[in-house]
Amino acid sequence: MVMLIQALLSGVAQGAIYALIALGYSVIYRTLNMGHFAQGEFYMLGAFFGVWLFTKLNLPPIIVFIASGLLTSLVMLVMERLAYRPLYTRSVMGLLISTLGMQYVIQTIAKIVWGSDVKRFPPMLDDSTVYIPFQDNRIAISMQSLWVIGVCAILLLALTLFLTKTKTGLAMSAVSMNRKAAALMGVNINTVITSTFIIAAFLAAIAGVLMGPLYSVSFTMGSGIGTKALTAAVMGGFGSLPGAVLGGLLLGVVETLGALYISSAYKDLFSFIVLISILFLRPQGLFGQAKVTKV
Amino acid sequence: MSILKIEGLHAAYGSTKVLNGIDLDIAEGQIITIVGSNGAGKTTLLSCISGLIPYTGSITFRGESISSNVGSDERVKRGIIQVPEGRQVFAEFSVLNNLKMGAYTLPRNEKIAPMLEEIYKLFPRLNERKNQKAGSLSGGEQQMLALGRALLSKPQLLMLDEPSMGLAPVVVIDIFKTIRKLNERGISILLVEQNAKLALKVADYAYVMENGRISLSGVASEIAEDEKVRAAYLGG
Ligand SMILES: Nc1ncnc2c1ncn2[C@@H]1O[C@H](COP(=O)(O)OP(=O)(O)O)[C@@H](O)[C@H]1O
Ligand SMILES: [Mg+2]
Repeated sequence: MVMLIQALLSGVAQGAIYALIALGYSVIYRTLNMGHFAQGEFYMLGAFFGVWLFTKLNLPPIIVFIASGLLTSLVMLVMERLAYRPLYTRSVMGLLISTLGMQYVIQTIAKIVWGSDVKRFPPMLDDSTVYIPFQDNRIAISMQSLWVIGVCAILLLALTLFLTKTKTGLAMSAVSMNRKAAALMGVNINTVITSTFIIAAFLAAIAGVLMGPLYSVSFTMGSGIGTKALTAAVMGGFGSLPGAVLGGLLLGVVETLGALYISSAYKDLFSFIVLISILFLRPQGLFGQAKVTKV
Repeated sequence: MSILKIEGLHAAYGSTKVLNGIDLDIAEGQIITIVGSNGAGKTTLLSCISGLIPYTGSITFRGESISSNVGSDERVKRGIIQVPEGRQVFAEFSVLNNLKMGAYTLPRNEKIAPMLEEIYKLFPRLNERKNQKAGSLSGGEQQMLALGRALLSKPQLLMLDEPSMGLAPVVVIDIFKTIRKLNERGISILLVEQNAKLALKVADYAYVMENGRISLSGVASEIAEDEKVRAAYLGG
């Protein structure tokens, strides 16, 4: 029982990270009807900016989070202008390939700037463990996990408020529903697309700063987690924001429980078994809507 | 005084030429109609005016030339508003949020509550259904919503693309009454219609479009009497 509770907690923390990155995939998919292959690289960039701001500039954690998010968004802004925007009026396939190439461009730049050795990201937040008595045993709760869950929850809330309560957020949803109508309301479509990419980059960067101290930082750290988060987004229903969150949490928990009760060697296998089962039963994902084409 | 003047307008989708030199003039405060069969290029013309697709030739709005690279958002701010073919409401949004999107370009300090009241007075049905998803409305209600949403953008020139399409005759009469009412309030209107009979009745001036060209133009009541127009668009 104690083991289960501890595993659930770390599963939810891992899942919250997947959720942040998966949300990035989903906001982009909503707006552009397209995947974004380079999404995991912004997680990596966030971690690199984080370790640099924290160890070299000795900035306080809150500033490290925000500044890493902003710097990563800035990289996204430049990339978007150079490699994505010229393709918006062409076939979506070109843009998709461009995001695929962007993955290698960003990895290579990171390798040149920060080198190919693995960096240690010292703990920024409280990394102690508290013990709560439970029956005749005690539950170990890592404060790191609680921080991860807390920060993810705050970002989630902020994103929800932004999308539902602000004019810009409403316009983003409008563009995802009907791009022509949104343009006719005076929404600048390119600005909305740019904002979408920036939100995706910011969320991934924060995830990177959160996870950097738990693992370590290297220029290849983004690809694996990018695939996991994509799995989470598809599981939840590609393009659905609640779906991305639920998919991420589910994936994190399944992985951790599988590793605990079956074998940690097959950790990755469990997530794909769950993905395939869900897609078998509900091809549109948990929260996805079966597409109805209206005339 | 003309509010919109178009000269030598050409547009194409890739290598397919669709508009082959359109000249058109809308006098301020009038209702102008463009009639023409399916595929003539009417929707494409409105897309050019709204800045959704590139064109060559000149479009002058209130004496100012608008080149092809002026964005659609800038045109909306100037008061060039289009209600597109097939209404195009935001299906997952409530009626209210759809209307709010209409006010998207208005300055932040502009109070939209009194404007909403106006819209609800014009279309009481929208008030009853303001919290309902737009996708669940009937065709006629969606057309009213599309019109109401456009009015919140404060149009100087309101362009309507086939507002009667797919609607029951009684609803069509309603919509046309509203169009006339809006015109009486001073909004210049460009009405694209396949229902030529009704359009020619409500309009002041009419253009007939064929294969991306204007083949005939004149005072609406005279166009309605034209032999060829009667044969082609008014069922003889
Ligand atoms: N997005 C598009 N891509 C390619 N061709 C188009 C597109 N939209 C319209 N067309 C073509 O342009 C011509 C004019 O279409 P349209 O402007 O919609 O005519 P109308 O509104 O008068 O029915 C038609 O031949 C149509 O097939
Ligand atoms: Mg048309």
